[in-house]
Amino acid sequence: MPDLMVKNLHKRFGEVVAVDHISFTVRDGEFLTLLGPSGCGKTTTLFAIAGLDRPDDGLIRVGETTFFDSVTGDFVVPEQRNCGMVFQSYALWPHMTVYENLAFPLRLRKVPKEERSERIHEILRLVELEPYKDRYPHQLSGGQQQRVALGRALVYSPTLLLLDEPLSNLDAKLRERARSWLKRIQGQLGITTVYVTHDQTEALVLSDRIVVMREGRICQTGTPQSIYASPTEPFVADFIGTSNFFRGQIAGVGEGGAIVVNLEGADQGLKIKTGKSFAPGTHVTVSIRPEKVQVLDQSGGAAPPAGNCMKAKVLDRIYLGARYRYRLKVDHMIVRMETEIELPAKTVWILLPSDACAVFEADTT
Amino acid sequence: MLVKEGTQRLAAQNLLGIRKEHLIQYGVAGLTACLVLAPMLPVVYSSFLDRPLYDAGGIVSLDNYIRLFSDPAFHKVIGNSFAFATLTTLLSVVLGVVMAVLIGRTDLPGRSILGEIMLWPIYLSPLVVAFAWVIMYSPAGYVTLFVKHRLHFQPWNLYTIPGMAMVAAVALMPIAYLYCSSSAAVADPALEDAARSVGAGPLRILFSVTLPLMRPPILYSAVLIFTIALEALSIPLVLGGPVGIDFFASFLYNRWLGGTQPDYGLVGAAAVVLLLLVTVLVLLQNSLLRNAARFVTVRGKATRPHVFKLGWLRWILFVFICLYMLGAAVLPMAGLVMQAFTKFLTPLVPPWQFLTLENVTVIFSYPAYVRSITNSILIALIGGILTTLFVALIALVAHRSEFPFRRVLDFLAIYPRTMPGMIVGIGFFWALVMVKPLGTIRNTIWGLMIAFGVRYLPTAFGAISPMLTKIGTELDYAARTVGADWWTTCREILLKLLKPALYSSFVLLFIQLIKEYGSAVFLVAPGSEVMGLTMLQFWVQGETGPVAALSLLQVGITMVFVFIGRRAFKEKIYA
Repeated sequence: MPDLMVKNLHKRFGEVVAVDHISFTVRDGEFLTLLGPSGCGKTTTLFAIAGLDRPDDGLIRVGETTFFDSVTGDFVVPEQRNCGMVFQSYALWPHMTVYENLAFPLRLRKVPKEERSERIHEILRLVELEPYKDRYPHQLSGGQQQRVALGRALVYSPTLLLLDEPLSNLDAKLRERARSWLKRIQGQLGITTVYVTHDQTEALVLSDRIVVMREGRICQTGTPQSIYASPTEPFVADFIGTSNFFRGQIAGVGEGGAIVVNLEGADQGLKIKTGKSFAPGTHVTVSIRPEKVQVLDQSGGAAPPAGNCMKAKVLDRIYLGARYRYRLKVDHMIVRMETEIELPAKTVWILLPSDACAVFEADTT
Repeated sequence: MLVKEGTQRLAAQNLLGIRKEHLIQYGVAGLTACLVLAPMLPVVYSSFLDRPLYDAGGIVSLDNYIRLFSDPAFHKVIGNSFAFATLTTLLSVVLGVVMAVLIGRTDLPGRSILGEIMLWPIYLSPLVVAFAWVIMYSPAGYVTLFVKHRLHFQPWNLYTIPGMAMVAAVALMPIAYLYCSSSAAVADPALEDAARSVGAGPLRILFSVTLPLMRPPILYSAVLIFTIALEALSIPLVLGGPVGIDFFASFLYNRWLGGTQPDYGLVGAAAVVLLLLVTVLVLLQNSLLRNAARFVTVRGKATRPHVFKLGWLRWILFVFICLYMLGAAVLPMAGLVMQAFTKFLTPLVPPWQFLTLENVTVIFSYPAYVRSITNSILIALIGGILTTLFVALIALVAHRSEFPFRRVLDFLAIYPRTMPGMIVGIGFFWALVMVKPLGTIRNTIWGLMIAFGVRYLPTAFGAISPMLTKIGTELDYAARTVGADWWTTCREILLKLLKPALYSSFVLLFIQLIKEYGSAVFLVAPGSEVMGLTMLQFWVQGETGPVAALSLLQVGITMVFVFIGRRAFKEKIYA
């Protein structure tokens, strides 16, 4: 199956820029997720790929076929793009049974009756809905409807699979099951997939690669691991997982090439290992994930003030089941920490590992 | 693999030539524009010409308007029309609101049945209502003579503007009732509870909370009724004719059909004046609807509004309503029946002494009269189906396509609301005269069908487009992505989901088309008679018996159709 290439895609609704010159490529068989908060332009991008929305500018190609090219004015109508799409509302046709819903795309392709039936049964087995083929959509549960929608999108062997928040209408437990099930089917079929969601967990679990979007622009593209471990923007660090953010100023370069940051709320400088370089005096934001914060000493006694060690006062804690989440006070800053350890004392020593911190130039705005 | 081949074929198939959907979209829009503008343009143009459109060398001037406005008869027409419309509006709205509150919000006995009966006049042609009232309440009417005989004086005169307004109010009251009762039924009980909690009694609540909340539907239906009364033809013709009181529509009618040579210019100018007035009113109505809609559409609440306890008063009011129904509807209908089956109808002799079937046999012994019945049924059936299908296409193009002029189309589809039936008729008369290739349908029922269809485009559009907007766009998107082009999506998905709306549009159109005659006045010719005009013809000749029989027949056809329609079209409606 061919690659999908999106280049310089731009779409405006009146004065509002929904998608602002974005580019990305989805490789053959890859599962790519467009992740971002609502209004970030992810659905508009997906609709542009499907041909349901005509972009103002840019290029969309699948292999050798040009779907859209603003330079030549080429625009392939949705029905000729051979994309399979699952909508947020599932969009099952209410006047057709499950079987008829799946048969419709094949009827349009004039597939002979026997092959049609064979193909539909094959797909219904795949989505585990064979016994329900004569039901109407409203007679099915949400999870079943979602699987019919996926079956309908797959039955005609589409070139691309496009999924628009297909799991957002399911309850938490079901969503988890549907997630692993979806991942399995996509792997089995090896179909190039673009998935749109605002749910970071979904994105991390399902994707080969994630494109994080915000206000029509791409913030970061990468594997789930790289996006989680080394976000390139505070927004990404905040949107995917949670992060502590501190404001500070670059003091200079310390030993071993680490930069030293003077934090606004703390008396002590922070040493951070990073590939980036900053001029001294630059205002920056430092982030660290709560689970990366380490407890050095639980007794609350005096400890070696080596490295990024800080004395913290425990403000409160929340029991999350597997872990605790603490709110700690270090000098004038609040630090969130997640750990399995139940802290007995009111005062502890914590460590902010210098390779677990990320530094970003602060927004001048 | 065959699926692959199918996909390739799908792509290849559509790459040939012009896209089918564009052909359909431009076709539908073009035809709509022609149909809506065809009657408009000639009317306006003829009003500025010094001679009929078909005579060469016409000179454009304001002459017709000057003549019209210096004609004292026209001054009277304006005065009469406004007096009639105002009085009609007042009577029907007051009646409608009282009935809506009593039936919707009180513990009146037999409310559900009364509410149903209240709406019946909607199915009746105003012409039939007018005939029925004349038979009973005109100076020579059955009830009038009966009362006069006892009291030795005549307590009322139907042939006056208040008399006519009373008849019109009976026919139009259901409109006010319909709008107000849907608002009364959904009134938020919390608002009334709030009033009660601060110590207001039931009457107080009624006047300071419930009624003010109904202001939008009251205003909206008032403007609607005023518009209808302004352009009404039947009541002015039947009741005003004998005593020479002229109104807009009867002025147009008489100036066109009365003289030896119709004064086309003057009629055109008067038509344009009426057109402008109605347009202003419809615009007013639209701006009111924007507010009214907010109140009317708050439906589907689980809580029922409180019922006002009337106590002993409920029986008195019940009797009052029954008397109203008896006087306004039952007696006139009974009059129609008596008139239809007797030679003479007079209170001096019991009706069974003159029993006869002659009136019915008269109708069926003249081919022209029989034809008017079959024509009306054909027009209502075929016209209803064709109009529904065409309007469905308009709605699809206007709401569910990328057609560049879809906004214009949306506007065009509801525009005929501003065109009184007479004017549609005059316009199509000119259009069919001037455009030579269309001449062949000029004197056929097809011409009438087109004119009627255009007149009721907005009715059908109003029945179809709300349902269409309730069908989620993702359903069409889904069809498009799996490989259906626009037209296939419309056919296989949207039209099938629209089925209930299409049925109700058809039923509505049938009811309207079978009683329509106003736009036929100028289009009718031997061979294309319709029931309404045949009745008028008998009426002018003083043949009240056959008129009554035909009226009953029309009412009967409508009732049977509504009954069948309700049974047959109870389609499964999908959520």
